[in-house]
Amino acid sequence: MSKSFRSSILLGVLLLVAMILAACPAAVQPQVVEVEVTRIVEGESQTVVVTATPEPVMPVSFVAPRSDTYTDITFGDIDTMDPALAYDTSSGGLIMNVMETLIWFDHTDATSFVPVLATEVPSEENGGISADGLTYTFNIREGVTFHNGNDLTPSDIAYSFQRGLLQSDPNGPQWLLLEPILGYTSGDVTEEIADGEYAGDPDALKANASPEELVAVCENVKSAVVADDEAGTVTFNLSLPWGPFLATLTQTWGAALDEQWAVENGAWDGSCDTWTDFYAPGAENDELTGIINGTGPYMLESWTPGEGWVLTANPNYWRADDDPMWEGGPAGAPAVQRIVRRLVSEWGTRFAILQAGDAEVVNVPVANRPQADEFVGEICDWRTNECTATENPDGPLRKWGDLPSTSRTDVFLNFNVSTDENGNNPYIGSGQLDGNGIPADFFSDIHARLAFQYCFDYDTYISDALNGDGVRNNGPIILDMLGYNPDGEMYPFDLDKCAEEMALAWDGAVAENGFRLQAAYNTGNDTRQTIGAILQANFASINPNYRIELVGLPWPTMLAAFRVGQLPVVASGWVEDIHDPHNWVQPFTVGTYAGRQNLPDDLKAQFQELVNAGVAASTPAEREAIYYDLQKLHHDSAIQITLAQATGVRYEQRWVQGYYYNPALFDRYFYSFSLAQ
Amino acid sequence: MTAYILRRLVQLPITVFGVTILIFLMLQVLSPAERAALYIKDIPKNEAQIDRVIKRYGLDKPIYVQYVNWLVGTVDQDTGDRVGGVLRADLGYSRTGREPVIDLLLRRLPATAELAIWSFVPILGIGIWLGIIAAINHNKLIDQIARVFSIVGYSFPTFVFGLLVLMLFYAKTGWFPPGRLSDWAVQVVSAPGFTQYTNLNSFDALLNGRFDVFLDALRHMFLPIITLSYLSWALLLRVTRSSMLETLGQDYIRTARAKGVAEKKVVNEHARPNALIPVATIGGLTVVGLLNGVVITETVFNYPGLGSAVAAAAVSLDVLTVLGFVLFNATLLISANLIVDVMYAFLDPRVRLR
Repeated sequence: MSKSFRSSILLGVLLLVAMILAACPAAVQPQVVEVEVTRIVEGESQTVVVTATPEPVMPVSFVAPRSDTYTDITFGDIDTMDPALAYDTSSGGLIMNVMETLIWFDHTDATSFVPVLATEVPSEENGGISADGLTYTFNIREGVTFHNGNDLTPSDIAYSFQRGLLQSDPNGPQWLLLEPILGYTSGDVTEEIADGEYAGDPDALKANASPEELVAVCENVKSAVVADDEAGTVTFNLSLPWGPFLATLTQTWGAALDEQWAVENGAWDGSCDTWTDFYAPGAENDELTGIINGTGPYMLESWTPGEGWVLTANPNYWRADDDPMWEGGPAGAPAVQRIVRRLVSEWGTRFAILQAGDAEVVNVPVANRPQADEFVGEICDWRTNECTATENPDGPLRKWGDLPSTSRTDVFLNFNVSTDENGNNPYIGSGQLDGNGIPADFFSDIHARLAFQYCFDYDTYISDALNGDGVRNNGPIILDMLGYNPDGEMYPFDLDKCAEEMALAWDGAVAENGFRLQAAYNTGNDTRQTIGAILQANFASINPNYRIELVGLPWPTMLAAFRVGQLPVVASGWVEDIHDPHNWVQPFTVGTYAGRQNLPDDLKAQFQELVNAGVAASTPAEREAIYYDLQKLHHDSAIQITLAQATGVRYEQRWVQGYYYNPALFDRYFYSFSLAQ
Repeated sequence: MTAYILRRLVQLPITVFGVTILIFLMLQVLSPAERAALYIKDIPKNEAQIDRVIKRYGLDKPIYVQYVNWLVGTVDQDTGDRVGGVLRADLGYSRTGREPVIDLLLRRLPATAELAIWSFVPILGIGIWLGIIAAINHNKLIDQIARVFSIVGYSFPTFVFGLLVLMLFYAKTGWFPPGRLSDWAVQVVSAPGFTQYTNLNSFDALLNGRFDVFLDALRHMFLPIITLSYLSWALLLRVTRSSMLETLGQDYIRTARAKGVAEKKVVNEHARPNALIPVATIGGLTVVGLLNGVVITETVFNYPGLGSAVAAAAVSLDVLTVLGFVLFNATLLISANLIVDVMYAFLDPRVRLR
């Protein structure tokens, strides 16, 4: 072995040792402490002070190794930091910790609010909401500053909303505001120009719309959201009463921008002559996609696309120590100084990071929960905040279970599938009830629809497809939401009833000849494939001539077929935009899905009446009663097979304090967090 | 020799052009609607956008028009400027990277290059050394051990090996964490006082006199280097061993030994240089593979290089990023192939004379 080779080996070993030493935490040193002891001396007692050297103090369990940093490991990067454009939970998670809205959710309650940039939550009682439900006035808090030092004014808030509405990006969330504020249902601010023909196309809009039309759009928006800096108010003039308006304002698209800062960075200057230059820009062309300036408890330190972001505590945060956000909630300066979010796509790597204690929280996929469960020392209930020890009480992790998600996958039955000019459709076989197909309007028969309700094994779906983490719903509205009727009826899994209903369908022709149809799912979506397989097996078990064939399609192909109403049976999912029943009943009974299912006009009209009444009603009690009726109609008409709402789980290190769950939040609200020292 | 190099240089752009056509044709397998859907998020709520995207990007135009647009860009109707075009280094916008594809590639390249540089020496040095040791100890215990070592390394899936060493040397001990730098080191290198000379953290740390950051960078690269090395040693060992065995059986080696030349000199000066000629090809391709980003290794160790970026893009059906990466990869591979061929011609005169 040559001398140089030996030197290289030696150098390598030295480097390795140095790297390992660099990784080692400082050893625990024995502490010398003074202790006061009492000794019994013959005759009388006296106190003496002795110096003792106790055993080395072992590290206290569940103490944060990094006292000022909370590290959160997940996957899924943000799309944009522009609150007017952000429409994904990853972006929302960053924005909600850096920027603030007029009002915010009251701790774990997703349906009541606390004031943030407003001084109070408007109501009819305090005069903030007009009697006709069309005017909402917010008194804006004074003394709030943005991270760059600029003062917050009512004009900033009005500008934020006006800019968003005019930006109207088709991939953004503005449709949620356009409907109540301007009454537009197309989701685009240019709806009144040529019947919305140029929606989402800035070039076509500028080329074809007249200057007067364009200015009119802008002025319309400005008159709908009005600031009065002297009075310190912002007023929204709605086009129709809108029950979920406060819930809509609470999400990140209602966050306040600093107008001066935005304009300095190239955003819309507030002029009605220039707004089309900022219309439908897409994240890649948006001026505020990569920068952010809010009033919130955290400031952005860095964002590295694909790798993550870092927030630091806002040293000038406006909230005083004696002004908790909600009763018992956070107040004053943020407790955690740094929030680090790292994106790690591979579960094994995330798990290693969690085991090494280098992260406070990691995202655990459903299939890997049993792995994480082995390290759980206590399980907590998000409703009561109470924790109980597991069989492994020294386990380093805390688990919060049964966190209801705000999405659900259901099965949609098409009342009249579309066919070509020859009456053909690839998913309905022969198109006849001859045992080799179904007629296009197969599901217009209530008995056929009911048979599908009874033939679905809901428990198997929850155990197999959702890994046991799911709870069945009884209609479009999800569990615990306003309008969800806990006593609402649900169809049981009952093969006998299924057979009975099928025997009645189409005057017995189905039972006599059998049927054959194709149920589509998008390839790679195991949950939807399982749904199809459950139906397939159960129908085959009651009659071998009841044939459901599963067809895996690429997502765009399945979508295209679903859009044009070709699919007789399809599983699809919905993720809520705002935590309000309207966001569920509208698409399921009169909007997106109702259209794709070709619901008959008379049934749709019944739903429409209830949907309109529900969204216009101003009191929760009134709305609840209407939605109970709607859910009953939904159940009786059996238009969809309502499945189960998945429930989530959070695993965190036991030194994390202050976590709470609110189903309406996009992400964690780090202001409430602290780390055990 | 000059004529040979010139001939190969002329072939280079033709090959790259062929690659662009192949890449573009791959994209055409998807229908216009499917390609348009890749640009739109939350489709159930925004499906009307599909038709607009098709119109806006001309996805329904004839293939040759789309190819020319993709290659040289289009003229913006408002400004009259030419926009886009891969020949103008505009590879489109990366949905997963949230920045232009070219920026993403250039931002991720230093991390991959740093890993490649640090991996290069152990991979080639130890791999070749093991191969030679195995050959000169043919059929002895060392050779048997080397062969078992090689078979195990060759058959070990990168993913499994990576996770195994991660669990052993990080989850249990905390010694070698994933990622590129620790949070504290990121703060140091991002601070105004730290100069990014090369964007290679380990080298910049030394140039800035921050040995702690240097060690931290090495700590993070250690397991990826070990993983890449072990899996590459297997191939290099086998190729070097068989080449060396073949060379040691040549007449001129027998002649040298018969003349009484010392065995060490026979091996090091007569046999090894010739035996390494085929190894040069493998070595060159290994280096190119490292520079292109090692997808699985970077993903397992959450190392923010080209490989993990393209893996994220592929999972999200971010076609533009994947295509940009493939084009970058192909160009690098073709260039490296040229360099290896020229090097080969230097090492073996028979090549350039053919």
